[in-house]
Amino acid sequence: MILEFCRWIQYSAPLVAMRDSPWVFPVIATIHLIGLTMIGGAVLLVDLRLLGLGLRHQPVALLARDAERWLVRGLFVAMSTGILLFMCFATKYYYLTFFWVKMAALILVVALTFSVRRRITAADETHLNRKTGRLVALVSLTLWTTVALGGRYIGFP
Amino acid sequence: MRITVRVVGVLAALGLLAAVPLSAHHSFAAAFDENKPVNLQGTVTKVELVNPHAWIWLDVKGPDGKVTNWGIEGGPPTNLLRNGITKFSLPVGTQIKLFGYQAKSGESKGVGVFVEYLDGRKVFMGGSAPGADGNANNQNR
Amino acid sequence: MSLFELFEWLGNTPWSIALHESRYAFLVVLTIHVLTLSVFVGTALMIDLRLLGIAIVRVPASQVIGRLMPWCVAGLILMMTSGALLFYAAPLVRYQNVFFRMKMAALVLALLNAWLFHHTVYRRIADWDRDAVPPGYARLAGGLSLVLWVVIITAGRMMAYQDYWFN
Repeated sequence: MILEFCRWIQYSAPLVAMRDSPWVFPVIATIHLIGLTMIGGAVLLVDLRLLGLGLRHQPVALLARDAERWLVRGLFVAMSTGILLFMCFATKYYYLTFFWVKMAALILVVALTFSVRRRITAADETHLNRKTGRLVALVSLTLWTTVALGGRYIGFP
Repeated sequence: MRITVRVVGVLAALGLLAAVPLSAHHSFAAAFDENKPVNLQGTVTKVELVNPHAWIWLDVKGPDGKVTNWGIEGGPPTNLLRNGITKFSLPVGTQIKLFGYQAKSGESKGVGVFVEYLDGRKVFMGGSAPGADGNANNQNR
Repeated sequence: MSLFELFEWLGNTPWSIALHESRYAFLVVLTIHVLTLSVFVGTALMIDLRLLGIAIVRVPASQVIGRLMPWCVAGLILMMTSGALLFYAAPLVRYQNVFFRMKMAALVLALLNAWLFHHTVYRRIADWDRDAVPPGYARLAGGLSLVLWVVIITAGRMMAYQDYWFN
């Protein structure tokens, strides 16, 4: 059933037009990559701090609040272009295990970031448990790396 | 206001890049055309099992007798190797059939779906063409 | 010996051929190149946004630059190493790729911009360290850097389309 949906989307008029154009897909793929770097910078800012690296002399809450704004923007750019890219070759991605791995990791890390990690970073400095902070940062970085690797594998064929 | 400046800067940069292909007096085409499937039969002239895309070149004789050299792109070597094509599988002069999709520019280049030996064996080329991964459901409808 | 001849010779060395025809090595290097991108440009982006005065403005600029630069530099080294290997796999092909040339030109400009910034405006950082919005020259350096990295990423991505857009 999902496959039928993928095929329906992929061969709908706007997507066909998108594939017909010589430059639309490459430009959207590039903007997707730029969104990726925005996410990378925003995520690193906080996760490095939680690991006691990077901007470690700054209050976590301050960094997290500023970084979150850019994380959201990066996510918006990456996800909107991502959806377009998916719709363009939906049936191909349907068959790629790594695509589903990427989606699972993405959903997981976004959920964790906006619940657990946000709570940890908003906490008062005195209540911030360093060990928990480090664990959360490591999980976050591992999941984002999985997302990135999955994305790269999709791009190979 | 500053965000606007940044957005404008990014768009300007992308616009500059888009101008390059337009100013190069070549056919402005990218990738393959799903509506232009090609069934080729000919003799292998060159096999390049290279990253990131492998290429198979073959001389194809048209109905008018004229021979055109076609270049067909596949996936990276790892995909072809997995499907059984090595550097030595298709020596120069081998007769093969090849199914793929032609480049949008109309030149004798394309993206390959599978190579078919004369004995009927099919080997998928594992590239970006629909169906090149060997999934029947992923064929162009 | 011309550049063309040099790159032709380079492309015929055994290691170049091995990399070009490799089953996994090339793809691994490419993956490192694309993934490190998010670390390198990601941190550079945060620094540039601070210089433009539109991100993490309550943190002193010297802290942002001082504490993030090591990550940025480590990323840059990885990018250039993996990039050099990708070039070495097929030097002539890269050399003749118009997008590659654009990418290299923009890269030189970006590095020059960073170097100039560090040796001029950055010297006087104590003056504007705590300002949310740095002085004009700092903003210019940040903005220019940002645009150039976008150009570099774009050109890098477009390299794949050379075969179909140009003969």
